[in-house]
Amino acid sequence: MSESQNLTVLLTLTLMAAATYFTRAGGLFIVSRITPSPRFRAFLTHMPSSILVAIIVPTLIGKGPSELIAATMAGLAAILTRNLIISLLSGLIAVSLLRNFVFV
Amino acid sequence: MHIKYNPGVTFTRQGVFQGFLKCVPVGLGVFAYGLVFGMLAVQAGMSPFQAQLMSLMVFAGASQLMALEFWGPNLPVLTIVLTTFVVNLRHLLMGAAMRDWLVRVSPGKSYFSLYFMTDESWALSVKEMASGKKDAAFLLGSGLCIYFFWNLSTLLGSTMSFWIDRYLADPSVLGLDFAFTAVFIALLTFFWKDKSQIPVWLVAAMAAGLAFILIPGKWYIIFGGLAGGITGAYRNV
Repeated sequence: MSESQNLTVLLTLTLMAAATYFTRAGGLFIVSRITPSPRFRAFLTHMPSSILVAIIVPTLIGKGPSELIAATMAGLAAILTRNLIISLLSGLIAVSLLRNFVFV
Repeated sequence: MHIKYNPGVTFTRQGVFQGFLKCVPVGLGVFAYGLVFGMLAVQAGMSPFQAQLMSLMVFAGASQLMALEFWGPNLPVLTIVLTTFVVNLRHLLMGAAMRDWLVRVSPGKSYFSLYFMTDESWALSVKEMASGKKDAAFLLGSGLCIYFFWNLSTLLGSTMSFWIDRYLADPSVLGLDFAFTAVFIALLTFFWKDKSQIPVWLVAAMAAGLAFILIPGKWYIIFGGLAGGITGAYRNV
């Protein structure tokens, strides 16, 4: 690889890192400069769990029965035990059993 | 402006350790993906050194895998950087959500911690914050945990490309792709307080579902977060 190609790679990585850090730091930069109204506070309170809902939606609508059942198992385990690791393991065991033996 | 250094919120070494330890199970899921990234990076023509540099500097799984799609002798720099930016826009919302912790410690600590913020470490941290914990260093610790596993697995994946390709080309065989979903579901149940959240979550789910079907990329996370947040803001004030 030539010198100029190496420089291009380094430039690309630097700009990618800058773009990513800009998004990571930007949210705090904005909200630390305003005093939130009660309505904006309520928005900030409800946004995190809404993001979690959004993140799991594709698995629930876009995959198959194995994922749906395993998701239910993970959710039930979390509600019953309030323990993240038990819930994680329940989901993983369920999904690998279902994928390999039931809905092959 | 960072004026309120609320004595209630701390930033301790124990907080870093706690965040790191609590994140280890999730880090193992990240590890599987780092192996795949390292392997694919080498196949796409990156040197192991370049792949490692990318994981150290950019540290964002989805954008790194996306960049590999464009990798070649003639790099479309602008395309890669713009796509990276768009893929990571969701972090704006996540960073904003950490307000209650981060405006109460020094800007240096906050903005350093944010460098390491990922979907997974953010989810664990925002849960800690919502349950009333006061040590903001948890965000840094959990982020460092993901950083550690992501970089270690990039190293292994790129240097042992051949074996990884043979035995672990697809993490879904072991169900590891489901690890993240399971974690996010568990954390979501911990957020449950009362019935007023049902419409908020329903709107978030519908907005995310529509966006997921209609728009490629990670926009569904942003649409879901915004829609749920706005619903909460207008129903509960």
